[in-house]
Amino acid sequence: MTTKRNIQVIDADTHVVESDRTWEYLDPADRKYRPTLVSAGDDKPTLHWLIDGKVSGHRAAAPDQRLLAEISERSGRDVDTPAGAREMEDVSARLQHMDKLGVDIQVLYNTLWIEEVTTRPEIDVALCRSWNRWLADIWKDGKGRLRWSCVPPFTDLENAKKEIKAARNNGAVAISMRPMEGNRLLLDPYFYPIYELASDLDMAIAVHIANGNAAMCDALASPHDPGAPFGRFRIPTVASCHALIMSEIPQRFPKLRWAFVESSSQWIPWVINEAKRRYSGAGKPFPKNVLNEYQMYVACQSDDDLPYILQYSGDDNLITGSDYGHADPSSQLDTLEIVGQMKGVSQKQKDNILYYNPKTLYSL
Amino acid sequence: MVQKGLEMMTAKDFQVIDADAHVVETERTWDFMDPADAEYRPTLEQSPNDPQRQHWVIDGKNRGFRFPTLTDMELQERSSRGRNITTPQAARELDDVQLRLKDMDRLGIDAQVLHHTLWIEQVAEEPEVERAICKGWNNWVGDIWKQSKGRLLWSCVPPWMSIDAAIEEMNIAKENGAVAMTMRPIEGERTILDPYFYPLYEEAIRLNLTVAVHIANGNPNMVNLLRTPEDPGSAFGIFRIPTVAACHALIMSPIPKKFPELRWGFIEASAGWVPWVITEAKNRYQGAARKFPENVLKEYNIYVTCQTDDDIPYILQCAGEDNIVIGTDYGHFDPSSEVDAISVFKEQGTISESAMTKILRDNPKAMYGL
Repeated sequence: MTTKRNIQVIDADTHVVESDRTWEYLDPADRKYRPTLVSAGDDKPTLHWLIDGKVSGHRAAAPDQRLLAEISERSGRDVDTPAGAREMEDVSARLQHMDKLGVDIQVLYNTLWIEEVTTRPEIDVALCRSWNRWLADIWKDGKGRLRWSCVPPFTDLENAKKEIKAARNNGAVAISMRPMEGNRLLLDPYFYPIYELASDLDMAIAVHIANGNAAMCDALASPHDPGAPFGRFRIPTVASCHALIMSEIPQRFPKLRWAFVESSSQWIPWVINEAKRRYSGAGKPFPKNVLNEYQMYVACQSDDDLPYILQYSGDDNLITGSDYGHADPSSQLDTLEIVGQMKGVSQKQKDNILYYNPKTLYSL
Repeated sequence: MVQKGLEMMTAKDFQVIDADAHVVETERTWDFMDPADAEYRPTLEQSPNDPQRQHWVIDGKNRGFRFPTLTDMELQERSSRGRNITTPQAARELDDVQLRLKDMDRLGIDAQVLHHTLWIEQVAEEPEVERAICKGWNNWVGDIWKQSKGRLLWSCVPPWMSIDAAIEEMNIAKENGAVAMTMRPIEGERTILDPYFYPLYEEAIRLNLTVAVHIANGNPNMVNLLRTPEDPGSAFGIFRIPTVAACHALIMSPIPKKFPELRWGFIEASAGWVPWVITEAKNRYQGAARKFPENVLKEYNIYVTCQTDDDIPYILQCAGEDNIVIGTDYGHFDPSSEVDAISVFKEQGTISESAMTKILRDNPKAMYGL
């Protein structure tokens, strides 16, 4: 970051891109479930994960550096990261790149679980455990600068709780949830034990854009829509924020903090108005600052109209992230720098977005 | 609003057009089915859990509640919470077309565009059942139009599972006052982008019909997934969210270029999402090195209905003044409904007179090809 800042800077949304090495952390008994990378057989550089005999999960397109430079040029957003840094083969390279970007702390998210990975609990447990161990190792090498959101195996709640506790002891600050986990929404009482545990362990629930319902993903995928991930991943994330506001969960788990990550923040005025209208129709008083009262944080993008959005979100509930490691419409390595220089946003608001709000969200 | 008499009104008389109003189906609706289709006639059954409620049974399956009949007192109690939703039963169910017209006079509305209630979710799985019910409904609303002195225009419901029958219905509907063709954001396993629907889009252009994407969801698996007792606002995710996603998908797709004359309406999802969707689409165009239209809604003939609690000045700043319309959701009493939305909107005074005239008159005329 070129601007000298008096505060630390927290990148609230970054990624690790899974590689073969991720699965070296599998228990020996679970090695039969080891995912393998396969090519689609065309001339595209994208590989796919083969899990339990099926192409499953999400694999970010891993273009070579030349293609990343092309995407950066075309989109006007810098997405160029070294392979060793995004796949965490070289943690020190990641830290050096963070220094160059002026970022003190990154919060790391998965790539694989953006889509359904498996419906078999034994495979779910094995892969989540391996991934969490891999991240714990990265955290240990990260000099306290690489915090992370763990991936619990939600098909097996007892093992999910074990994973969360182990992850908390190894640098995790959040629990990843998809807006749809198989056939369950995040409001499902099935998840209440997870919310109790997250409250007890002082961990945030991080609803990163994703969709764990394969049938819905299939219904919304279309070869005629080059922007289909908007409908498959972003839209359910936004819907889940509205659903959460409408539900009893914020009252039932008042200590719990929520993050809605990588879906931009431009939708906040809309969702707040919609929820307010429904509260009014039901004769319920709507909170004066609903995001603040319900401890909900939203990751903004540099092309959001922040001066306008802040009127709805308030100063204390926006965070931002670079989507480091990916090269999609959310990715922009210098997001934090752009937000830090944005006109129409006060210095206090910028400091909140870049440091104080993510610090509170992730309890850093 | 112009002075209305007993004469037929035409588009040039319309100063205020309600772009989103409803008919509520009753057993009388199905009197308009072909006698040959009698075996497919929907029937009403009492809900076992709630003596006040009935549900439609179509082809042996429960297809959702008949729109509830609230007493005047219940409607007034609900209206007291903020938005007026009170309409006379015979007006919303169109048993008395003249009563509806009188109520429109009271509300300062010259013309309404009528949308269905029943098809908000999947109605039939078999093409012949769908065709029979759509035909009955279209006949019914065509009859309403004939009684309305030209003031009750409507969006026809084509049987999407049978393209030839759908085209036939569109033609009959056009001759009987239809100005639009209804599409749901998701029709079974198909999105609105599916080339399967291209013949309908071609016919809509030929007949000067708008494609009206009213909030709905024709994919029962998705509806079941998203409907939950833990979310009293689950209709937002089930119906509104897919409608918004469909608008984004349309902008991203080749359809606006392939059918440049086609007009689109995104109805009853509010307009608060428009700035977000435009930003998202622009970002993706840029990433794909595609030139984003300066005013995407205008260039792609996309119109969106707003609500009175939308930040309309901000939305106009992002979307331009020529593509926003307004509706009352007349006949329903859900979070979209505001029977006096037109007068509330007029009294707000947050936008210029000319922008207001566009939203009330010029834009819906352009949208519905009047």
